Amino acid sequence: MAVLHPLPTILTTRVRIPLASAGAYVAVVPGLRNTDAVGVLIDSIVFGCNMISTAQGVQIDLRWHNEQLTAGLVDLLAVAWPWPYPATGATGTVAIKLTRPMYLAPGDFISLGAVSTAGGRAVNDLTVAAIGRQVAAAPHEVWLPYLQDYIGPTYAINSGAAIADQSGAADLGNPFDVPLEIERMIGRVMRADPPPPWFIDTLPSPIWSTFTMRVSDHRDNFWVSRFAPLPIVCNGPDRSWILNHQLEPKGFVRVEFEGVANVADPDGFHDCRAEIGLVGYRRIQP
Amino acid sequence: MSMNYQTGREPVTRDTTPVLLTTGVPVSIVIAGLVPGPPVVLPTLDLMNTLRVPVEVTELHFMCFATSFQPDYLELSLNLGGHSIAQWAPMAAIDVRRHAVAREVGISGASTTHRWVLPRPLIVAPNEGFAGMVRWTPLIAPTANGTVQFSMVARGRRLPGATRIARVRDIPWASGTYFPVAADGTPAPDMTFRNPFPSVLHVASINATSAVGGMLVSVARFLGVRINGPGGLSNNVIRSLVDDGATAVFGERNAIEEPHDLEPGDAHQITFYDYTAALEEPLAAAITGWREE
Repeated sequence: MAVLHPLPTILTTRVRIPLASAGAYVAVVPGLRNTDAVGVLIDSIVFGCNMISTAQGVQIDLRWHNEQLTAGLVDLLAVAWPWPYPATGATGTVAIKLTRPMYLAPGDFISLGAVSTAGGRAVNDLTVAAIGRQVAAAPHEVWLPYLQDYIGPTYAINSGAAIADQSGAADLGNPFDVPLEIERMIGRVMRADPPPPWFIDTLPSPIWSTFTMRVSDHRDNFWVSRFAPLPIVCNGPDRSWILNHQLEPKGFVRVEFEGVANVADPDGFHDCRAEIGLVGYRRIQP
Repeated sequence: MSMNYQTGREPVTRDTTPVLLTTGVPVSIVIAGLVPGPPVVLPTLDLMNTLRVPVEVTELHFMCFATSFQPDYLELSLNLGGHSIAQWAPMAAIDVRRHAVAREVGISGASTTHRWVLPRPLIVAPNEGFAGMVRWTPLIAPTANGTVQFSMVARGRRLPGATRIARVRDIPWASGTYFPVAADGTPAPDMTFRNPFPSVLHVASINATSAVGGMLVSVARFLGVRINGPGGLSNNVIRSLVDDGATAVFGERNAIEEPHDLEPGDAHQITFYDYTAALEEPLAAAITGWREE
């Protein structure tokens, strides 16, 4: 009988994704591979970077065999949770804590790809690993994570522009024929000294209250009926709303934004935008 | 609520539609020329269930953002219809999380976010709403004139199958106070937490924390604590410890979570002793629970 490692451990190969060329998609297949002789349950996927600004301009996609684990390319910081640390400055780690652990049999892997939108900023390599624990037997059902995001339009924060924006049916929804368990909604206000990368706007700052939002679903049920500042809906300090919602097949979540981009800019000319991430999972039979 | 589709899609097994009631855009007041002094009452809050179905509320969140000072020393009074829910309860003490994560300091001010996980879900009928006030005691002078913004949210989910609210509901309750602690080991005046209702108060927790967004006991601080009260934890001295006794008693969640009942008129008394050499910031204590009403 295999002796299981008693502690959570880095279970897969660590993958280095060079992001030297902004806008160039880099695919790594196989990506995060289980090199153990036993199965593993992955709890988190961790991204390490030399500069946190690198992570703040990165989009990722994840696949397991023919199954999409992300809705195409998603903004890493729209789905990362808990709160990335450090938020600005030096070397940082960004993690996506899965709401249900994902099983990988021996030799199995998650393919991943990334693209940097860092523009003219210095970019560095992204190191990715999966963390979790070994298990003696495969579970009787498999949970596949599903990550998606909605990135709102860009506004100059002192432009006086009226913010009126909403997500569409294809932005935050359930594309599957099975219920999608949506565990959390992440909301972040981002700002950038053009060009990107985008930095998470930390509380407290006048910018965070620029975007107010309300939320409804495809049946016009209001989840949030009164426009309220984004950091209140997605509550600080980890900017998340724990939903525990079962979204029916082909259903979707609608987020609407209002506000006025009329905030004194202490550092110069800045853009800002709102980002919403949904993190959840679905069940499949192994 | 299950949805059956002709295409054979797997139905959902339950209605889990989340609901978040909010005060909308935060109420805001301008703070000008304040010095440490008596409490300031912020504008009243109102938060209503505008849906056509009842909402089951499980958490209340309070967020305060101030541009020129730390928004600590906040107290809450809250009612739902004719039911009192909180009576000047220190927000720092009704939130039993590690407070290190509840406060943020940024480039233009500071914010605190407090979360009260209700001991029992609270059913809010359509068109029924919360009304409340927040009181702020400026124990530390603001560094400059600025503004305070305050908002409240109630988190829960819809109850679409409920056609009427039960005559008797579980109503949450929180009450408490901030209090200074003398530096020389002299006990602070006893705090009395009395059940003010004509019915049994089901105590969910007795909480204590540093008033200034931190954990109960700093490294250089030693507290003793004594909790007396009828029934519940014990009939006489419940806890009597020195040398970091408060941490041992309240633990990392800043709370004694041993559910028990307080009969009408009965009370708990809490005494803190501070044995540190230097005067520390005030403490906050609260009792939370629920009653049928």
